Amino acid sequence: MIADAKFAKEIIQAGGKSLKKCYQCATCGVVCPQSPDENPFPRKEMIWAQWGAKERLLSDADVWLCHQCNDCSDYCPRGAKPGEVLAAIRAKVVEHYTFPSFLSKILRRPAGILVYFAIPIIFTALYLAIFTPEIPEGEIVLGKFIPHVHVELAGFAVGAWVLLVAAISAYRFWVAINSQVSKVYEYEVKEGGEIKVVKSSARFLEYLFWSIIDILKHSKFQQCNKAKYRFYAHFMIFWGFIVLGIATLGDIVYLYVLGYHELALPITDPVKILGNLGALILLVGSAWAIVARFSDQRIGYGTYFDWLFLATIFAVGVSGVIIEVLRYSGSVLAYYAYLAHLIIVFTLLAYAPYTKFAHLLYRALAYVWAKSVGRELKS
Amino acid sequence: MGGEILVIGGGIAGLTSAVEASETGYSVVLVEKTPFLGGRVAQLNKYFPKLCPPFCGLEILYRRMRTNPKLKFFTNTEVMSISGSAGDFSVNLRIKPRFVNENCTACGKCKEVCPVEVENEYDFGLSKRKAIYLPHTMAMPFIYAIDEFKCNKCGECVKVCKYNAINLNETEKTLNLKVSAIIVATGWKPYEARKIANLGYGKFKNVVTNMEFERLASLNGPTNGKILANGNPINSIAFAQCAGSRDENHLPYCSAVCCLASLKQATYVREQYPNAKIYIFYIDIRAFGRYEDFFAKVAKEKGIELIKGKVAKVEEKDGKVLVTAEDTATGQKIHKEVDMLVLATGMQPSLAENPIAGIEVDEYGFVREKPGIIPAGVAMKPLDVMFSNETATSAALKAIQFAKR
Repeated sequence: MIADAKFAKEIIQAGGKSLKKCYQCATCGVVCPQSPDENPFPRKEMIWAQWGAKERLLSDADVWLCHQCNDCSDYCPRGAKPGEVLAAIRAKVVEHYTFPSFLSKILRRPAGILVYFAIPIIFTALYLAIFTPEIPEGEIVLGKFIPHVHVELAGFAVGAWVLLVAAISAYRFWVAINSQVSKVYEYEVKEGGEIKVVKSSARFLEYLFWSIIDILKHSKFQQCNKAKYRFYAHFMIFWGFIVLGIATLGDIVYLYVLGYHELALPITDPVKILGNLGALILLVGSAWAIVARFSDQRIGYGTYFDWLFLATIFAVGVSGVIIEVLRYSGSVLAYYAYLAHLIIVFTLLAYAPYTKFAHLLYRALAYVWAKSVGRELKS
Repeated sequence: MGGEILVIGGGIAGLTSAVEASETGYSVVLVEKTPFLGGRVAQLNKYFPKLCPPFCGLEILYRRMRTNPKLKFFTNTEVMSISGSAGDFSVNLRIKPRFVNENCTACGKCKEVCPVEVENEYDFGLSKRKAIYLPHTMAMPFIYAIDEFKCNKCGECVKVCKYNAINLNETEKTLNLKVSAIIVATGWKPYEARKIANLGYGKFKNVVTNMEFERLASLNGPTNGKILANGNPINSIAFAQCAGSRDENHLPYCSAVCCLASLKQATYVREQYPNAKIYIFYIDIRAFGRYEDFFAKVAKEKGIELIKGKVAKVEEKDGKVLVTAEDTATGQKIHKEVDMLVLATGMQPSLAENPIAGIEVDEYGFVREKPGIIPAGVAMKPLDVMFSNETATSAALKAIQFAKR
């Protein structure tokens, strides 16, 4: 094992400020509702982080099995906040595996907020300079300002980029958690001294299927005790996105199947109702998560990595609602709000592999891995 | 009464301070809040370093007290306030009624007729006593006392007392003392184990504190010294170290004695049950100084398993206690089903919750020394009996310098 003091410092900078307070009493792994009997977490991650055992942490799927219920931080006798430290480690893992690494390093730092907004603002300015769209007269119809097909093409471009980067991250992470260092069971000595190496099984798709079911049901989050709100808030944010996604599909059906020319839908339209419902769930969930983050000093207030993502989600919801309100009230400000909304949506989607959004990928793979090596907690 | 020394607290540290200061020729007044002297030590089965029963040490101190005219003591007496400065303190005392005077021969007739039964605090509520009582046969003073809050004044005891020793109309008195120096030996109380939510105390019957365990192992305790769980002999027992100590949510400091106390209590179990399984769950074993030898001796014994990892989850199953910890040496969670779990609860200074006006304490309730106000024993910091007595002797020496005329 290689100890890298610099990595320990980086975890502290990434939000694991309380890391060094841990004195290894091992209360955390026992009160953790997610931690298995064999090689439980997060006690071992705490000491690896103190030592700067970079290689181990980067290939440790356990940090992704943590859902930051914060039962550990609640019972921690030293205020070492293992929940926050593991969140900081996850930020470092995302930074490490995401291509290109210079961009992931920039975006993970608070100063990176400039780049975070500069890229979409430059793209928008270029678009405005090239296509010179004009604010249309009369009824507010967003598609007359910026044609839907332009937004869709931009969406496809961003989506392709995100998928490419995510695939690279997923590959690197998957290789790491299945490498020698990652094995939870370092080795398993069988009779006759034969050493069995534990690797993920070939039934990847089956485990992936059950992992997706777990994600849809939030069955792991449900086990949290201390921060029970995380289950409700996360559930709402997650399903808010899905409902919004379905509404977007409805829009596409209107445009390309039913041949609508515009999407200035009345508030009574079923797709509009669905969209508003999704937005409401998303807003309530993210507002709840934001408020609850301040609830207990003992469990910590979250890291920059966490706040950037949460704030972006909330801003997407708020800006979307603002456009709608302005549109129904007939204000031309709706067009400017639309530009702002597109910029925020860009930050949410285009940076997904670099921000906390990436946890969807890493945690899903960790679920699959846990199922494949039999590490899943039997409830 | 100038030149006198006041000692607050009649436990082992207070007694030692009082005896040693008075033997140098100064007048000493010792006050004790409860009706009897002896403090926490009187509740122990055996104590360090020689593992002798507490009364051998206490008896020596009581004898030195009795033969010393310079030392007066008041039981049932509380210090209400302290004012003034070194060499010239004014202390207000409240002497609560005992209702029983020196005529008492401790014949025990009164106890038999008393209709009021209450929890016996000497046994931490593990046994009952009457409202008129003597906590144990080595009590000092050897005079019954009446619990003023529990007594219903029925007068049955007065009727049977042949010695005219009981007066139910006795009232509270106050007293003002002028003293030169004050030794604060107010001691400690076991940390309230119910506050440690994950350790099951108060929820599960066979989860006890280390002080309760001392009573269970004592010949004059509720089970006459037989260690029993659900009335049966035990086959297995676990000790959970740092129950409330070294914990920001409870007592942030190390209580200093609990590791050795559990090792000592493991020997009680071993003496009674040669085959019982004994598990001690710890973060670090803190056997300081020469106690290292004792640790090494106990650790070597067969059937005693020391597990590095704090007990963090306690459940109950069919009258047995299920404890879970992560063994940090192997990185595996350990589940043990035991007949009894002893929580090594820490020491909280008495003044933390019951402050005395005029005595300064730190954030945890330990006394801050200032000219003329000298802490001794656990009122100063967590200590075992031997070190308490060393601080008590040093406090006596400091006090007589202020009392010098």
